[in-house]
Amino acid sequence: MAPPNEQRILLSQATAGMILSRPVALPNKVVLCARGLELSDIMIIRLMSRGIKRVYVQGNPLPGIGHDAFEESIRKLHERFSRVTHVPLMLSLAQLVEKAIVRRL
Amino acid sequence: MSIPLATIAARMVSVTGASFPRSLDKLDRLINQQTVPTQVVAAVLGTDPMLSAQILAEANATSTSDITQLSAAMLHMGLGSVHGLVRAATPVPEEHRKALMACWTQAGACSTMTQLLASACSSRLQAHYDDETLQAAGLLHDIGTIIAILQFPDEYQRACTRLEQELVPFPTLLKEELGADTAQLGALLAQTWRLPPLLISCIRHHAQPRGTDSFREVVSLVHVARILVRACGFHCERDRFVECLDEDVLRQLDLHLYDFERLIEQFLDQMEERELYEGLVGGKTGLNPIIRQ
Repeated sequence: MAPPNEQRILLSQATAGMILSRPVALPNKVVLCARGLELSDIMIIRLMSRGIKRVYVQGNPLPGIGHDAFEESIRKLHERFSRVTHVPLMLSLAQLVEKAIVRRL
Repeated sequence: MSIPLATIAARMVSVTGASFPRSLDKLDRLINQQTVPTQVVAAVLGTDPMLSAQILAEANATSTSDITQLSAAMLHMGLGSVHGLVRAATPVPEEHRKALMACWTQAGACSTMTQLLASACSSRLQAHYDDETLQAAGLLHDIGTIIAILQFPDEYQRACTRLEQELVPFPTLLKEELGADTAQLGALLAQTWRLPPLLISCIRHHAQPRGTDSFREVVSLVHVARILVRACGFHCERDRFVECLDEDVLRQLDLHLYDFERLIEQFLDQMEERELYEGLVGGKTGLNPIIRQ
């Protein structure tokens, strides 16, 4: 499975020039910033003041989770569950965790 | 060859507090400053299973009622006595640091997940447990593994080696090598240190919550929390294989797979923030760095 071409980052890690790959919305679904918008320092501070903690940005601007790391984390996940593959509940749990790992790339 | 349980129990008497040098230095400096709020000291201590256990033990030794909250234990003892314990704690040996760091991380992760689970099940729980009690239950549940690494390193290593080759759970292998599994080891220490019954139950029965008649709800929460955090990769170094969730426990707590999806997201968010925070300020504060397996 290939990692998506976007990264979910903490707003405190965001820097001016990063492009939003998804809209930023409040919990009540009010959209604050549209997809494709380029972040500026002022905008980051404003989003922080509205309580936004994370944003999705285009590409993989932050190091650490490249394709190899992704493959490795999935391999380790399968290894962790390798002794409970006969239990349907645990297989479903493994799929949930895998989805969570993918979402965090 | 395993060791008689009585001999293992006798060894528990000599167990003292141990932690990472950076944490001990940081706590020493924080308490010395005298202007740092107790809550900040409690927050730093709350990431350390061994020091937390020792402070809870000391507080309960002179209390007429059970103390399961770290801040209450610190209040009961006084900051001076807490400082004395921190100063008396020994730095963990260099050769065990990597393994112990993973245990510290798993303990912190489990304390976070236990609180999240309790919050998700709050309307179904018969008893109310405060956040600090849940935190202590999750933090201390696997203290047996820490004791195995520190006190019985040869037997622990042999069990780890066999784990790679045999399809047997790690606690069973440790029991064969040592004479006690991780839950028994932890419970022996907890009884020696006279920790409150709630914490002893969580330590003794977290793998099989149906084995306890007391505090079954909180033991069940710790059981589920432990398996979820290990599933997410927060485990004790080589003891990395996920155990089966007890489906009766899930029914009892009325927990379902769709609950886990949201809980895992919340949990990973919290761990990410904690990792980032501690990573950012770790150089200044000396908080334990969080490492992910």
